[in-house]
Amino acid sequence: MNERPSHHDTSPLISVRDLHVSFKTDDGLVEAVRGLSFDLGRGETLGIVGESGSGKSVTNLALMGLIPRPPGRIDRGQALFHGEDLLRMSPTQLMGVRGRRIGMIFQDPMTALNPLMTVGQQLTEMTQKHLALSAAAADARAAEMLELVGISNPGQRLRDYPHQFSGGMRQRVMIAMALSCEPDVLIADEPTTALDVTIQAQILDLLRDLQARRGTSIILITHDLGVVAEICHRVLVMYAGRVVEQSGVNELFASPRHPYTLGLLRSLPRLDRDHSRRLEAIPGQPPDMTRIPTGCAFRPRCGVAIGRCESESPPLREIGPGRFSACWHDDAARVAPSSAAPADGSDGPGGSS
Amino acid sequence: MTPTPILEVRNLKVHFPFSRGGFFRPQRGVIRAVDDISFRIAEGETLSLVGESGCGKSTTARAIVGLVKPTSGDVLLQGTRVSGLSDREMRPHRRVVQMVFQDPFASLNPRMTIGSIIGEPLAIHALARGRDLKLEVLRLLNLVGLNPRFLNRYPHEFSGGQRQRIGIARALAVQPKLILCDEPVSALDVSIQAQIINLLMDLQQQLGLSYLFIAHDLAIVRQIATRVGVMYLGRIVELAPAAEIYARPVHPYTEALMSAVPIPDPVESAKRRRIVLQGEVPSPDREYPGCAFAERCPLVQDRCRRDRPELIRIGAADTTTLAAGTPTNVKADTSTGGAACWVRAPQRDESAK
Repeated sequence: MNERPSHHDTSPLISVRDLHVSFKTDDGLVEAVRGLSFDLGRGETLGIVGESGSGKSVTNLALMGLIPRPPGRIDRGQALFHGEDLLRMSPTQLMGVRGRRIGMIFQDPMTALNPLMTVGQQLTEMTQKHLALSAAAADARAAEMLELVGISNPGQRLRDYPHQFSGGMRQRVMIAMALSCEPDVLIADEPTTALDVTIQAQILDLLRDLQARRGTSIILITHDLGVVAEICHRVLVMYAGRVVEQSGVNELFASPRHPYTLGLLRSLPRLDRDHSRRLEAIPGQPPDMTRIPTGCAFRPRCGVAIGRCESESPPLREIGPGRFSACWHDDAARVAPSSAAPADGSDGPGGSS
Repeated sequence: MTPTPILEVRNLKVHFPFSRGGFFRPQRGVIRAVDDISFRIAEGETLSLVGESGCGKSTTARAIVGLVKPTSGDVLLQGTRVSGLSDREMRPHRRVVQMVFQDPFASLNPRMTIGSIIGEPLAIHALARGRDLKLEVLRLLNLVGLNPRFLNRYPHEFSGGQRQRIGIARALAVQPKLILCDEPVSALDVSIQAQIINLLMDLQQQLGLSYLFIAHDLAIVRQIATRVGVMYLGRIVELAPAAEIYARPVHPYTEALMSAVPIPDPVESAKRRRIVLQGEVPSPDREYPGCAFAERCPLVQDRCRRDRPELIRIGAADTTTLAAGTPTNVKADTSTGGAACWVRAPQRDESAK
């Protein structure tokens, strides 16, 4: 796991090892993240993909020190950032990191913006606090940031309140805020999910462009494989709190190795493909996280499961340069028999009934 | 004479009056949610309305079933005008058209068992009672791929995909001809979306259903739709058979919309020519004398801002105006489709109107 398949500086910027996060709920203990390890390289865009309950957003919250405790708990693990463990920082230390060195973008900008403050006040608050800029310098910087994210007439717009911006513009404001202290890392949790496709295209262009110009590392959390294909360099595919596949983006899409990744890609309707064929759905339901299946969590939905998958959980193993998969099947041919998706239906085990 | 369509919408307008601003500076106006649209749906076909948020696609569906009152225009079910009917007069027609909603968590009554949720429409329309009703509910459960043992369970025990199946079973209970599906899979996990799309397509085959399928995901629409109508600011800007519109989009908005959809394949996605539109969808609270898309259109000409283009049949020698003016002015069958653009689909002079 130490190898870095990247074209950049070799030491990782963030290094997460064996992260375990759980929540106490009325239905029992939910192990939301079960032993997650990954590195984020400099100037890299790392995609974390998964469906609801995969643990992708909880991972983000854990890194940011935003897990509500209780009911949440970080049971184990470390997340090194410049040699310091994000998971063990005091609230005061975290304040110095969040916003300053790690910027955040959320799905819904209205939850991150204060409706009672103008956009200018919010942007200058950050830079005055973190960078100790004078009021005048902070104003100039705020206008510069709005311009950077493509908001026209920035001097004027600084005096506006968040509700005076449209959804796409608010997302830009949030990106401007996240970038205003020139963080090393940007964590974007479903940054375009609430946006229309034409606006999504604008925001993805913006992120790509900002990264090219500033070399910011990005962790992009999403359920949308199309977005991943557009801007990520490397991808972690999560299922039931674990990474099931980790790979460079081109290899992942060209030859997915985990049956879950393969199933996801096959189930997607595509604009650029023949649509007369029936979609190959993954049968069953995502697991109920209070009752995660024994062994491999994907087994009940897997078309190539064998006896061992039920008794033993497959570890994430290196299967090629920079490629990891958590599946007992070693060779790609067995995982991907020409078109072996079983018939769909909703009665698969693992449903929440 | 072509057979009577299941649904015909003629010159439908839904305008919402609003007043805003303070006591001292009141502003009044109308939101033109749906602004003069016409289309037909034939037996066994799927017409999909696509477009970004606020384009009027959901309002159109709501106007068809009478959940909102049309400002003007007609809705005809199997040739009978139903817009403007009272609730009582509408009741027999309600069996013809049913609706499946986006959020399977909000649209099922949490206090009713699955059996009573699906059986309720049968009882209301006096289609079955007692043992027959139960047998019918079991048949419906089976039809949508749910296990009959779920009969006495409650909605919260089910996952999103299973709930959507329950919603579909309820819609099917009264044996409708047409189902309006409003974003039926957008709230579901990626791996479950394909299951539901396959189910809808299977049911269409078995039962000869027609669908009005409202969605923003163009890849899913390509999979399921026979014809596609692209909406922008309350108007249909292009209407064409699915195969045609995806292969050769005519309206510049359709073209931009399609090019903005991320393709889950980094190699393909890098090859693609993307049209990133500037700006955002303008507010529907003002009237646009010309083309609604003019403000963002890369091909805009003077005329586009001045005169409103009508849907014009593309390709054929006959360029009859489609869906212009009042019902008496409907000069051609709108189901043939066309595009509303002065540049790409040059139209006849004003005198042709």
